[in-house]
Amino acid sequence: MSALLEVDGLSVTFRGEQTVHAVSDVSLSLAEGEILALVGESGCGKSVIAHAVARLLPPSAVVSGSIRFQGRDLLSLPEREMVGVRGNRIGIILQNPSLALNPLHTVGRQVAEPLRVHRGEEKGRALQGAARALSGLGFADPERTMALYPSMCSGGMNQRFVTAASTILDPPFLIADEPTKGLDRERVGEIAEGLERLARERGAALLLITHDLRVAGSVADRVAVCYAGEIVEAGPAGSVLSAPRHPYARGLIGSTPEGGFVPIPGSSPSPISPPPGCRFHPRCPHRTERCALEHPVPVRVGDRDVRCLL
Amino acid sequence: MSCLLAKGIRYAVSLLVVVALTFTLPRAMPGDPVMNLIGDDVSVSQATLNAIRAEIGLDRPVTEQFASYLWSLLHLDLGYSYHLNAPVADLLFARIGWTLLFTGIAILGGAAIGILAGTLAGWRPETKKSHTMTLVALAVSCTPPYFLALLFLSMFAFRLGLFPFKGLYDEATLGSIAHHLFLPVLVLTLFAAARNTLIMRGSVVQEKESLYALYARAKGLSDRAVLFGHVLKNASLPIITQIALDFGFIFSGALFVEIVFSLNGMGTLIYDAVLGRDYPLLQGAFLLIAVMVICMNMAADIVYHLVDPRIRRQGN
Amino acid sequence: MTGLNRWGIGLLVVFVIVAIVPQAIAPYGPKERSMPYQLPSAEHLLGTDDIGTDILTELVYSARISLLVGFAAAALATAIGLSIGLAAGYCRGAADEVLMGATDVVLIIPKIPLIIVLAAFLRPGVGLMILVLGLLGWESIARVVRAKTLQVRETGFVMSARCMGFSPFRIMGSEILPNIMHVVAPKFMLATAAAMISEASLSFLGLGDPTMKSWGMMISFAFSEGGFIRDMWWWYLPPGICITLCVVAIAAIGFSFEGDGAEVRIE
Repeated sequence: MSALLEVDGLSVTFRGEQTVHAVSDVSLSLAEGEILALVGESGCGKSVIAHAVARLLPPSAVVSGSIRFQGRDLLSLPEREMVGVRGNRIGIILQNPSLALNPLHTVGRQVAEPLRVHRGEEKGRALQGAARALSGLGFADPERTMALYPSMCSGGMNQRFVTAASTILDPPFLIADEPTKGLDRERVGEIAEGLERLARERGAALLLITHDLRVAGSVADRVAVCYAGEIVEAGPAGSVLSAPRHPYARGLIGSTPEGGFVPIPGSSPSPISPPPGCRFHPRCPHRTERCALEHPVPVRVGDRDVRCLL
Repeated sequence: MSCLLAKGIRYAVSLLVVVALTFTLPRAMPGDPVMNLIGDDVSVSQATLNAIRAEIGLDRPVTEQFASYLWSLLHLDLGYSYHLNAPVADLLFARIGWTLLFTGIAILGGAAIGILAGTLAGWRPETKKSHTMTLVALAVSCTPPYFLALLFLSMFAFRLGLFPFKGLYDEATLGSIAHHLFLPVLVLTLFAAARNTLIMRGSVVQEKESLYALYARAKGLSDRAVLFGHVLKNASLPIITQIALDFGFIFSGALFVEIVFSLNGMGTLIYDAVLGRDYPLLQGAFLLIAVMVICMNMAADIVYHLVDPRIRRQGN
Repeated sequence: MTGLNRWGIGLLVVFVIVAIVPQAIAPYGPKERSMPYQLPSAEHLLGTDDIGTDILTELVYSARISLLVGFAAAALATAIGLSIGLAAGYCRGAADEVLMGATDVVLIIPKIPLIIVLAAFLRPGVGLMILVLGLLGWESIARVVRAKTLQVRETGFVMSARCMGFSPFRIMGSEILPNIMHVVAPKFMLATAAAMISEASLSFLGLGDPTMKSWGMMISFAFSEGGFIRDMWWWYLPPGICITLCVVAIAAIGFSFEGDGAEVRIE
């Protein structure tokens, strides 16, 4: 299987009163049909990575590195071509679906929108397409549902509308940004399963951004652990989650209820002035003097890449 | 439905307050209530004064007076102007048509221009173009409308002689009327447009940061498509309420513009009434204007209710 | 728009200085007369008006009246708005409903026509102007204060003050008030701007104080004493420009307090 997405040396900083280093030297790859979970705590930069791939970052963002998607470098693509990629080849499901939908447009119009924009379909046909998509997601009466407004629907329904709109053109690559955030346990399982099924059925690759390790474990093929804007460990889901090698990853697993509920001491570093050397060293139980001076690069260890000096 | 009811009550109370105000004012102000009711500087014989005094019935209990006041209001009797020797209602209704005409054109034109200019200024607020537009709009909306009118009058009518500076028309032809009305309508429209531009700009700046705008981009819409397909409609909502709220303000502005351009609308009528202390006319005018403003507010509420599905849901 | 902010403050400072020490700037004393209707010349930079007063002197001395009315009316409106907003936001419940209902009602009543009627009944004067403009200008301040009070009321230190049994007045005054000032300040500036425009408009109708001339009164006199017909633009233009500049300066300062134009409105 060839690599669908190859991110190499991606760095994102935000200009402003102070420079915020959101993402530093991130490299990851996704093969066709593969599910990669990007895990980490809030603020580690995983959402920024996702937005960067789709070039949805605000103008204050400075992006460097390369993002190759289906052989093309997305970062050097002119905007009018990028417009053809978004929604069509890359489907993005944003966080907070209730706010992602325009309150003044009907659900039907918003789900059908990609059909009209990318395929030039006229209104009637596009709405039919939307109805099909909605019934595929479990809506029994799609015609009636499409006439509703987002404010009339629950969060879960809106989540499915956004999923429908993002997958209606059968993109080979899906990005889901924290789709289970804030939901209770059963809902989390449902959504995660639903997403996995969707991706597998269509043979689409899925980049799943989540802070929930359980979801990552049950759905993903591979896992990348993100900390302070860097990928510290990446490898097959099973082995990374059961036997993590990077101290932060170990700490993360250990802090879950199943892993022992042991929190990692300290707090995550500020993105404005990250610590020198290894970014995790102030909180690492195994740190040496070297860790404060040298900045580790990812090293192949067995079946995965680890960014650690030990 | 309950929120509609609450709003209806609020409007009814406002109406009542306005009526009560116009009833109480002449009786509460310093001086002889009768003089307050008929106006100063009026030469009226003592016999007439006594007759008026009896008719108005200042010696009767207040509730009775109020009741009879309400009764005459319902009959559209707004009192009598002893200055101009005519019923106030007749005088007002004769002149109000023109003023409403300017105000209407100015409001619609101002809204259209405001939405356009505001969008341009708000979509890319960092550009120089946007800064200049905002500054110009700010300057215009800070200028007293009558001064703007004076400027235009002095520049275009007096100096350049492009437009006539007095009156509504020379002959009763459409061309002549348009020629005469051009400057006043322009001034008022610019004023309304300036206010709307500033509001629209703020609204666009806010809406373009919204998540739904980002998601529309994520679905593959171009920048322009996001602007015109999503942001514009959502950002225009505040303008609708603004139009109604502005009505009172623009109408007042229209009065001043009329005075400057010596047009025969309500403005000059009120101006003369102020000079001559014709209180019944002034009160009648106030009542009429207040009622119009209340109606416009109700209309805006209804329109907003129809347009925004979120409100519809709350109302049910 | 910080550039604008600096201009605004600079401009306003200039006007305030002119208002405080007009004697230092005006070429003549306020009561000096010479030939009326003179054209601008070296002696009279802006000519003279219908009774021979130097227009530049008048312009300078009028600054204090215009600014006084603007700020005083805004202060009154802010005081009323604060009281009502604080009470409504703090007490909530029935008091809130009643007060906000009253605010809505006052909001709908058209100001300028009402002021015209009132001012026509009573003798014109600066005090009356300030009183009326202040009494009618508090609604938007009350709303904003109420919204902020509702927020601040639920914060930790206010809760603890309530638990400790401090009287509501003490809480409103020393706990809540300092924390809502940052929304009140811009509203105060905008209220000043609005009051100045209203004062100018009313003066134009002749409802201002003829003994204490403001810029608006200058324009009114120019209009009614033949300055317009004679095309004496040096008489009516400078006061109008001064009003506009001053109001723009104040409005710019007001907006910059709030951050970049989210809700921009001059009533």
